Amino acid sequence: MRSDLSCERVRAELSARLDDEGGAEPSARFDAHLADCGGCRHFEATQHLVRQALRLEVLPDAPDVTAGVMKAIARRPQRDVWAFRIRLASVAAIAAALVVLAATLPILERTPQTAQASEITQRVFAAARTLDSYRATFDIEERGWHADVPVRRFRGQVWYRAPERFRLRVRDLSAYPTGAWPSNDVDLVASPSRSWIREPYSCPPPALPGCAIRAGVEERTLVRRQPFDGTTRIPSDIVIPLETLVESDAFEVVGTQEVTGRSALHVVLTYSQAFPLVDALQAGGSWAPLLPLDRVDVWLDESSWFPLAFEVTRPGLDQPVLRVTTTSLREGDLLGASLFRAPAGGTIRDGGFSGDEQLRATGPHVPRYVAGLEPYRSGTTGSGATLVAFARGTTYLKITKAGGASRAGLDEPAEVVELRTGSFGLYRPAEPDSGRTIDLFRAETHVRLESNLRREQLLEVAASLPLEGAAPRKVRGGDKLIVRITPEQLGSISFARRPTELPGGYGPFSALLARDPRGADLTMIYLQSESGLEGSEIRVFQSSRVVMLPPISHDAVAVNLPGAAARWAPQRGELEWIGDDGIYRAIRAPSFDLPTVLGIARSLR
Amino acid sequence: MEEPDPHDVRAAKAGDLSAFEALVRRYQLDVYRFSLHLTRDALAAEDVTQDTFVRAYRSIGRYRGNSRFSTWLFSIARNCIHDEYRRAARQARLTTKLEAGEASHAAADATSAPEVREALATLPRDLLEPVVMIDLFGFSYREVSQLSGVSEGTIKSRMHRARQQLADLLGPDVREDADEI
Repeated sequence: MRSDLSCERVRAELSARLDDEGGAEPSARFDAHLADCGGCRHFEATQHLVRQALRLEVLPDAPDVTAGVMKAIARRPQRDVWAFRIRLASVAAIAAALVVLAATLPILERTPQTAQASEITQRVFAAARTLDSYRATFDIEERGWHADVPVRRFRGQVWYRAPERFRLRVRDLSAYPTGAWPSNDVDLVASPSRSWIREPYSCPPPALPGCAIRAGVEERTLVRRQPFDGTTRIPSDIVIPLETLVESDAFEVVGTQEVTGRSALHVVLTYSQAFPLVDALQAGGSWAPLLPLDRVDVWLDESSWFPLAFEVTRPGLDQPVLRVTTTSLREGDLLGASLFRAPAGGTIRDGGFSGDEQLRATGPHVPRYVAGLEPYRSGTTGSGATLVAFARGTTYLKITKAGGASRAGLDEPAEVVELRTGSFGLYRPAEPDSGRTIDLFRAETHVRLESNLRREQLLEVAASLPLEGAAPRKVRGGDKLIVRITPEQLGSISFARRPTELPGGYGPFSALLARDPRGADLTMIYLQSESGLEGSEIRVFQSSRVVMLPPISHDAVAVNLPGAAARWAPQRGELEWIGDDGIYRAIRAPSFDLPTVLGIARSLR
Repeated sequence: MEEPDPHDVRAAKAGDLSAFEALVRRYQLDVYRFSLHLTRDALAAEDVTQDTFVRAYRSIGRYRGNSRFSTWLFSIARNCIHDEYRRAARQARLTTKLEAGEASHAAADATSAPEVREALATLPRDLLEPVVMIDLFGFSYREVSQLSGVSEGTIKSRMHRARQQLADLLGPDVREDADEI
């Protein structure tokens, strides 16, 4: 028999209770009504269904707006005056032949021949490793900088010698309404131990020409520069667009075209992806703003992978916002060190690096595997850490070893990566002022690896580090504590569940617990014992911090587990769900099919 | 929704771009997902996501920490979405879709339960918004109230109405059963 409560009141209470906002109705009457009313029970089931469906939803390809956002805000006044505006890249190139292009590079369409983007990425990377030297001249045409100056024209010159000598000279050839307008001449010189830039005092274009800032130029110099210093990274994507084309799924291959007698590959991407290249000639001075979704067409020399031309266009505008054309380029020239001797003018900052007289490229902080790079420089940083750098062409690897007191970066967002040595590291992707990094810790040592190598290569490098002593069981930094857990200790972790069924030969390898005030993450790795460290791993991740399934970009499918709905991402080989205990769990096993992974999931105890 | 490390927020407020970038990386999928549900247009959602963070950067100096960071960020996203509504309304594009309850292909891919997706698509905007905020992101009534500028009681009522509408659409006809009371 139903209580005297109406369905309307019961359903309002059900809705509020689901949101932890209930309690208005007496439980006994409420429960009595619910037990007797199919409609209200359906209402209750439906609201759970909707919530579950929303939290199990799978996103289509979700965009990464990071680069676009950062580019948009980087043009604001908070800019670090020490930083060149662009992300550095590396330079690169090819054999030794001399290439001289004609003064102009008209683009003639030819039958398109589409190349595979991943192959292009590999070739660009290979070219970047073999480049010795490069020099080029560019014509730059820009629109939209100021309403009273519809078009500006520049001549740019670049000299590069691997791995860290770079010179940029930009001369403003524009016709301005009056002499009060600043000329956007920029000079930049970087050498292994020093960098220097001279640029006009910047002023927002809308305030020109009556800008309150006095006319003139400013100079800044960095002395005792650390190898591959992050704040003065060299804009080498203008030489070879290594950073721009690092992700093969980020650009579209249009085909092959002829550019003044040279076969050029035409690729298209957005400015948010191409800014390391597009901004390379804009390392200083004042330029028209570009938008993240502006289209960038790039024509790359098919033999050397040098960019021969690029254009930035925007819907609704008849002419390109920016057009850059290579008018001449040469590679393999012997470019003397004097060409890259940076003056010491203006404001001077001391980078604090002391180079060794004799290169020290051996020792416990030098990895056995360096991805084919060659020893480059070594020394001591301003904070007393030892540093050794390897380089080849525009690719580099930098290893910094500090004392045990250093826990720099431990409290920054990072991915905990297990190395095949049983150790672990903290991985961070490339940032505007840094390459990809991995931090490794020992009882008395903190080692940071920084590189523009691919992630997989960097992990291999890290795994080959012959660090003394075992990785500590605990590493603390800020409010974060990372603890290595033995299989016997798993029982003391309240939310930990272990698989009782695994594919043949698999056993526990490592477990890490990362804890902070917001909760804890437990990562357990299982490997195949017969094949030692070479077995395909099974990763079981459990978290009390994750309260709902995180968004993913894969074409995941919904599957059922006892007591929980889960989703399966076949490309990653990952099964995820939130259990009835509220704990997020994920099993990643790319080598196995769904039934096998489901078997592992069902065996968790 | 998980909150960021206070250190990151403080650093971002102080102008540390790398700290702000960490916040972008951490929250962009949430903002995109929120935007996609409310605009049902993948391109519009991407624009909204980017605009949200650019606006957040401009105003993070005024974030005083008296609400959760995620609440503050979603309030900006909500404003961007409403700007998108207005912009789209001018183009008579998005409005038509919303009124027709028509989801774009991208939005159609965004849930794994088609019947739920179709039911959600029928909700008017003032009911859909709290459902997404509460059921998907776990905001409280108070937070949604702050975000939306309406009372907690109104949010509670809207959630009830939205769930009743969804229950009516999903499954057996429960209205008859209810009318027996």
